[in-house]
Amino acid sequence: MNPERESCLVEVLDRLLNKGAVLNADLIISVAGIPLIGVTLKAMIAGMETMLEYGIMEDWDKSSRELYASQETHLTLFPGEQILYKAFGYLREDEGLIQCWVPGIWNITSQRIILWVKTPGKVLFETPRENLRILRVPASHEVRKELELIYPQGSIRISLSDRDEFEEALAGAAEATVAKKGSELTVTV
Amino acid sequence: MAINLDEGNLKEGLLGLVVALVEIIQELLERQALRRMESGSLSDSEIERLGQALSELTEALDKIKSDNNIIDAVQSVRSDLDLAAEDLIDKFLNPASWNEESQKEES
Repeated sequence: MNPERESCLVEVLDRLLNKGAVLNADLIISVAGIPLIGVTLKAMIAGMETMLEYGIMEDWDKSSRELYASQETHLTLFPGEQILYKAFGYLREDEGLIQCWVPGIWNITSQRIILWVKTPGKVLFETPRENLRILRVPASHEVRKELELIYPQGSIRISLSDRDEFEEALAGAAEATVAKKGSELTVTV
Repeated sequence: MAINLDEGNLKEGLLGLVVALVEIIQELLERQALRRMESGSLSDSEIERLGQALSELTEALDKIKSDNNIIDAVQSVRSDLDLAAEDLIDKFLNPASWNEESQKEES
C-alpha cells in the first residue's frame, strides 16, 4: 500500500471551494463598430456549505433533499424475515441478461439471498436460501475475488471485498435455520 | 508543466489519467461532505446515506485500479498534477519568478 499523503492539488481546490469563486464577464461582439451580439456571463463555484452561507441555492438544496427523501425505497421483506448480513458487492451471470459485473448490496436474510440496488430501488437477484451451493472460483480463473453460487435455476458469480465474511455469514445463517427447524420439530413432537 | 503518460501502454496511461481525475473529485467531495456533516444541517439518515455512498465510491475506484493494474499509473499522474499545482501557487506567491523564467528562456 502507498502511504496516505496530502495531495497539494486537492488541498488547493478544497480551499477554493471553501472560499468560493465568482466570475462576471460582459462581452459585446461588434462588426464594423456596430455591436451585434451581447453576452453576459455569471459563474460561481463553491462548496454547498459556502453557497448556503451566502444564501444562494437554499431552496434548491432543500427541495432536492426532500425529493430524495420522498423517493427513498426500502427492500421489501416477507413477514418475519430479517436481514442477517449486508455488504457491498457485485453480481455477474455467465448466461442470461447480466453479462458484466453489476454493483449492488448483497443481503443475506433469514429466508433469501438478495442483490439490492438502491437507486432506482430494485431487486436484481433473489433466491431462497435453500438448496444452494457456494464454490470458490479457482485462483487461476478469477479476475477478482469471486464466489460461484449455484442455485436450483442456474448459477451466478458473486464478488465481494470480503468473501470470507460473506461465506461465514451464509454458513451462520444456515445453522440458525437448521436450529430453528429442530426446535419447531421438538414442539410438534 | 507536463503530465507524462506511458506511451508504451496507452490504455493504462489514459485510464490512469481518467481515474486520477475522478479520484481528485472524489476526495474533494469527501472533504465537502465532511463540512456539510459538521455544519449540522443534515439529518442522521442523510449523514449515514452520504457516508455509505462515499465509501462505496472509494471501494469501486480501488477495484477499478486493481483490476486494471493502474495503481502506479494513477499515482504518477497525481504526483505530476500535484507538482503542477505547487508550481502554479509558487508563481502566484512570487510573480517575480515569471520574469526570471522568461529571461532564462530568451537567453
